Amino acid sequence: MTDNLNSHSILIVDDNHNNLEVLSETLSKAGFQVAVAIDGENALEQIQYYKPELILLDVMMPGIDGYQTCQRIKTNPDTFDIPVIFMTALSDTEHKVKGFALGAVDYITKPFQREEVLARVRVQLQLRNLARTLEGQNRMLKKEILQRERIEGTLVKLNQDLEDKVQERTHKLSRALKTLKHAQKELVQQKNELEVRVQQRTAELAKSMSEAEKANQAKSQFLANMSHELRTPMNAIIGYSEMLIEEAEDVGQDDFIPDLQKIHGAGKHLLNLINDILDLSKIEAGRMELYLETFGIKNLINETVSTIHPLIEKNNNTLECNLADDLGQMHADLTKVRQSLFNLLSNASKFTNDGTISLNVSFCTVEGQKMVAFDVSDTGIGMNSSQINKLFQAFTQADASTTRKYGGTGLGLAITKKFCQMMGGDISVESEIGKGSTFTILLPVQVIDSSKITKQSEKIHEFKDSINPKNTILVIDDDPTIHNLLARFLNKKGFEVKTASSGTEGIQLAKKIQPQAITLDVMMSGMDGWSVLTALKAHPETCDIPVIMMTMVNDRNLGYALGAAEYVIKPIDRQKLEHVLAKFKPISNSESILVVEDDPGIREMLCRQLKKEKWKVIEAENGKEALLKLKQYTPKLILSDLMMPEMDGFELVHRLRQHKQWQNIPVIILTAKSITSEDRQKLNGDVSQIFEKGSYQRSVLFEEVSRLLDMAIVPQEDTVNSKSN
Amino acid sequence: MAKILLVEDNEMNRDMLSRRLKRRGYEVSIAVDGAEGLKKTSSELPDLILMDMSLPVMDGWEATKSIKANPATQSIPVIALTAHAMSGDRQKALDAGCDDYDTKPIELSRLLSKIKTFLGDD
Repeated sequence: MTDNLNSHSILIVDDNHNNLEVLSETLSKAGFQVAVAIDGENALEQIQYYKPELILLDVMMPGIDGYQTCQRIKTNPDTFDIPVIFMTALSDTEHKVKGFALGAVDYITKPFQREEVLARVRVQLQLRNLARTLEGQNRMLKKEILQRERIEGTLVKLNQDLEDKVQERTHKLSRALKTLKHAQKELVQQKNELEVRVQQRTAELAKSMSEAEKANQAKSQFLANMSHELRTPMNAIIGYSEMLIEEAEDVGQDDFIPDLQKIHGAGKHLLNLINDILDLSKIEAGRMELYLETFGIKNLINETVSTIHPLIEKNNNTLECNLADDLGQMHADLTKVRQSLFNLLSNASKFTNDGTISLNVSFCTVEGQKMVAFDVSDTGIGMNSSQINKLFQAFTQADASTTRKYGGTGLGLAITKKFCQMMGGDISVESEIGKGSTFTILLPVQVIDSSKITKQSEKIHEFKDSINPKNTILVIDDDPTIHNLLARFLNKKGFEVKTASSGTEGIQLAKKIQPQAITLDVMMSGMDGWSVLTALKAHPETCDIPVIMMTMVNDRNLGYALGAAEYVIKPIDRQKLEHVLAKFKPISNSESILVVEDDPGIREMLCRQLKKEKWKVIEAENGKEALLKLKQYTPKLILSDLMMPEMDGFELVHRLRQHKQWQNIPVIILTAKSITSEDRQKLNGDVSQIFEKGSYQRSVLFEEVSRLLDMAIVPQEDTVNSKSN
Repeated sequence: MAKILLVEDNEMNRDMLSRRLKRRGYEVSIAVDGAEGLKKTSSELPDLILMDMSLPVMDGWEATKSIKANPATQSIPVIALTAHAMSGDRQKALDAGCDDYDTKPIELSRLLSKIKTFLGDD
């Protein structure tokens, strides 16, 4: 900054030329721009055109002197800030004071000392510069302050606006909140009203349902009574027409006889219809009772066959009965069993012409209960699947034209089904259009009469369910001697046996009963064994069932290639067959039982008892732990409590049944909870047995455990893979 | 010829059965309710009784019980005539002491063979 001082312009005012010259030279040499004026007027004039940075002003000049000049400079707003240094020979204080009073900044006494002049000039210029800088800074500060003030003002305004807005918004929100609260209150009220209405409606529905049930019962009751009333006049019609026939014969009026016989026949037919309707309405009104007695099965068959004979012969059919000598006895409602058999045989003869009707009796075990199966087969017209579906419904026959052609009420099979179910059994059918039908009645050998009978029968909805698939071997062979031979042999080895005489029948049966394994003959008439094997393996329902090929043809590789699990060459070597079947054999006591019980005392006791019976035991404290254990071991049976922490027995059973690997593990429930019908329903079909703690006998429980373990079969993993060896 | 007492309240059934039995040579006596049946059993001592079960005044079960309780009449065979498929009725009839039962409507040939079994003639 000091360097630049020299470039500043300086005006020198002096009337002495010599002074002007000296000063000009001195200042020019020092680098200042120098202007000169010879008197005050001249100086003021010059100042108008350019403003020097500093003025060196002589005091004593002609015209206006230095003081006057200074005064004018200082009074002019354009020039008042230019520093003025007086130059004078006068060195008295009075003059100096006057000069300063006029606004001068300094005072140089003549004669000049060059160095002093330069120093003073520089000082003044420096001061002026500083003053200017300060001034500039001051201005900037002022400007900044102004800006700040303006911004602050804006901010204050914005703030105010914001506050206003917040207040407005708060107000709006509180109004909205109020509206919402009101709406919520209304909703709650509406919900309550709705709930009340739903309750009312539910009650109304329950009421109308019970009314409908009552009405239905009343209807059935009415029908039962009405049918009874109808029968009295029918008796008269039948009786009197019969009498008239006798009398006409006596008096020789033979030409009346055919007409009277028609009246008599029509009356009997009508009576049969009425009887059917009476039976059905009694069943539906819940008034049909069971009258249980013990009778010989062979006697029953003989009696039924002799009654049905005229009907069989009517359409030129033959009846075949393949019965063992001693069928033993059964305990059931004789009349209802007889009526059911009669109905099946009568249907078979109705729908078959010049054919064969056969009646077979066999025994099997379902859920530990000994059952007798009556099969009635015919070679008649057969049915398709939609006809089969309607078969057991009341008031529907295969189709309307059937009624016209074959007669009947269409109630017979519905009644038969109800009878069977009342006795804890069921009826099933297999049929093929044009080939004929087979009806099977399955009944317990010892029927138990209880009000729960219908509930039990619900369990056996289908024949399919009535066979324990785990223990069943399906024998497909067209040679009946093989059926016999294998059945006897396999029975001894602890299997149930179902037989099929043709490939088609075998495939159907396999789908239906899902046997543990199938033995399949290769050389069969009709569909041969290879085709059957291919069909079985192609169907998702049967592809997992191991098939043992039985053949005289040694074609092992073809068998394995088609998916056979095993291959046995005929004539059958029993040892070899036994070896093969060992893979599907029932397991023994050494297999493990999973005990799930949260009470350590009960668990310990139960496990000790089971171990005493030489069973292996795995323990779990609750359902959750049981599932963990199941990942390590696969027990053959589970004994579970119901009420447990973490996961209860219901949930455990539910989980098990959803899990492919575990769904077939039998479960016995042991519980202190008194079981409600709702509980039963929840567990329905998923557990084998429920024992209430404290009320069961240990021996009964262990028998059940033993039975279930014997039934369970472990298909060994390598069975299916063995074909690759 | 054997004498049969028919106890039946329904007039048509009574008429039919009595006429048909008479036609086959039986002597037929009639009673219309249990009380009359009981009275006629004692007074007429028939060879066999056909007893309807649902009867007015005194029902068939009651009448049969009384007949079987009386040493003078207890050896007379009683065939109960019960309604179709009413197994309860049938059991009740046997419990009351009836010797046999048959269901209504009457199938004459079947009933005749039962009658013959008791009466021992052809």
